[in-house]
Amino acid sequence: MGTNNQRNLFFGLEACAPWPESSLQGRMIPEESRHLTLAFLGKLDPKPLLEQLPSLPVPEPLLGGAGVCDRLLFLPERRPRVVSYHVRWLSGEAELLSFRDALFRWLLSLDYRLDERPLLSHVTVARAPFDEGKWKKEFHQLPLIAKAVHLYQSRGELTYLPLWSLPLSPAFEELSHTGEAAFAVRGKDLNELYLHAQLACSFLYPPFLDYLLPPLENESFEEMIIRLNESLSRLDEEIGSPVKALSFHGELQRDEKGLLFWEMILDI
Amino acid sequence: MPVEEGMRVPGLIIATEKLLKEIEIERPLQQVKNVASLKGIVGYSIAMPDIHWGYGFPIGGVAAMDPETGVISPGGVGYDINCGVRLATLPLLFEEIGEAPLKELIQRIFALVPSGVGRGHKKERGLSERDYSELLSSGAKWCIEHGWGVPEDLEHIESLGKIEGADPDAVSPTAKSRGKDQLGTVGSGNHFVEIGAVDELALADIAEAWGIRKGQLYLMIHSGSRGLGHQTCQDTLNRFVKKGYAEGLPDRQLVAAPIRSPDGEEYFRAMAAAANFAFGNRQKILHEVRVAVQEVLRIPPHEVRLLYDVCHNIAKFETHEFEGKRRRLCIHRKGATRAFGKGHEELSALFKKTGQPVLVPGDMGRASHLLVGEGNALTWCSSCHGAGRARSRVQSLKAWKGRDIKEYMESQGVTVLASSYRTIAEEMPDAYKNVDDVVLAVEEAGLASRVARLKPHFVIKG
Repeated sequence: MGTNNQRNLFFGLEACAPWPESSLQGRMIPEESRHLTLAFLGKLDPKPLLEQLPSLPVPEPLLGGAGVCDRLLFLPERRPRVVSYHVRWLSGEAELLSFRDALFRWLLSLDYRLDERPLLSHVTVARAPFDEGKWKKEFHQLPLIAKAVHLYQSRGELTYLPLWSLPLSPAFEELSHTGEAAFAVRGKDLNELYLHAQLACSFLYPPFLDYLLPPLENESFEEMIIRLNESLSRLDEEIGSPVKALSFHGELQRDEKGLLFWEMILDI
Repeated sequence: MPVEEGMRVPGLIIATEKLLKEIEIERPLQQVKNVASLKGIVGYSIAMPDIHWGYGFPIGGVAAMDPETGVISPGGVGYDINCGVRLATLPLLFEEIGEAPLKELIQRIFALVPSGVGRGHKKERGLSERDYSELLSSGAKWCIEHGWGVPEDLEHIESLGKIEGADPDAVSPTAKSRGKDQLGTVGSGNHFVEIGAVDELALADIAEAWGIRKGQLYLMIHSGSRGLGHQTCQDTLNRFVKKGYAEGLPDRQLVAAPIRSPDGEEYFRAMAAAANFAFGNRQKILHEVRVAVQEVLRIPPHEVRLLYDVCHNIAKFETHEFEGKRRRLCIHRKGATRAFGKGHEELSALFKKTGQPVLVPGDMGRASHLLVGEGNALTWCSSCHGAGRARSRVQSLKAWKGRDIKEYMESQGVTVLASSYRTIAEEMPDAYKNVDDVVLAVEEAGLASRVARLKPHFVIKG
């Protein structure tokens, strides 16, 4: 096997967030390449791994997690070379860690060598040089969802090529709605759907993250919509919001993987 | 669209083949069918040529209800109650004044008229309870009595700037709180203030009767009832859903109460109050524009003449001919404009001779249109309200990401001001259908006829 088949490989989660337009200093990683590393493999020939991947045990359904980028990390701490957003998971963390454990066990069973340190959930957005002070000054919390697991090849020049993909059922995804804004929202149960609906709203307007509501107690689906609207009203009254209301459109359904599914339409 | 299971009346879609091919039609058509299931609907469930996917009603939807047996639906009016458009003219041609003073004018308007998310009047005191009571009852007239306009304006506003039957007490404290700093503000999304020039005339005699000349400067305002209207709609939807009015409906957002019921009547009173707030809102915005025009161009306020102001999200009681009889009906227009023809008893003297103006904003790059209503009975004298979006906001944002959109718009001859890049990117011209195609469909269907094509040059986006 020739060394020219060697590639820098790792498994990562494709990270989707309403990344702000920024003129901050740094070599910016393109948005479509932003990811959360799950397992770093080092320099390898990808071919054998790709042939083995069909045997990777994958739990079903695999709902992509959702969380908040709640602070900046400058890594490594002693001589930072990258700017990263730390991810605090609000849903799906247990499943993510369980999948990572299963991935590790599978890779180790195939004699791959891994860095087994605990997962630090973070998404790198820029490389040095950068001004830490300016980054901190401009930082705002953002919502984030995971859309897929990829086997990535690092190509240098800040780009990462997916060689293999495992799509996740995303917590929400934006639908093409010509009148207003719409999302397909999913969850294992009503409370998770409720959380994901709020995070979807915050995708359109990140300040909504300061208005996230405590979990439902025994409210019905319709009462859930009413509660969400109360939060939107409060947000609009206090600081203004482009999202004015959440309609009663759409029934609560189960998708083909048994997840709760709702087509949510927002009034803009 | 013939009657299918669940529909009480057939559907009627006004569109050309070209327009139907350009849009995703399945979901809006389902919404047309759903509206046709509402109790007491008369005639057709109608969709205008700018039809697109809404929630409950399609956007561009019109439905008439029998007041005795029918229902009133907040979703059939929309969250932004009395969102509408206002057109005024200046006694100048574009070429007489040139760009520099107009750039200064739009900057001054941008400073005087709050626009964008959360932009209310920070320096002025908010509306008091007494102000609310009078404004929500009287609409535009209250603003004029407070020095924000001239009495002649009223005859140039749909329903003289006031929906009868409004009850300020039917509007919740939360709604009033949301709206108290927002009188005279544009809002966000697709709302705007625009300065442009009359590009072409189609019906020269009507243009002359209305005082419209080729090359003349115009001002267009698009705004509605702001947070007050949104909250009023939401309060009613919540109440109606909790009371079970949505049971059996194909879409919960269609929830509706019998018109002749305490709930239905209360909604109408609150809706009328919110509609009057919107008339007042556009009246105050025009006042500020007149102040700016006087400061920058030295033109007295009364020479900025209001041509007309129309609602495009409303439910109104109107008298129409149906099956040989004159009937009082509750007309829901959600993203549709009234288009009374000449002779209509509700119109003021000038417009009784010609038919009412119908204002159709397109997009900020290409054109808007001024039409005259033809009083088409088939659509309850209704016409389209705009171009209709061809792309979602997210699609438009992605398509223009990283590009200098202000520079692009300048290259198209349009200066755009907005409080955020995102607003402009979501509202780029190619996010909308070509309004020329939409008004052609309207004209071919006999709903309204083109009077003038308007070209925007300076735009403030919300």
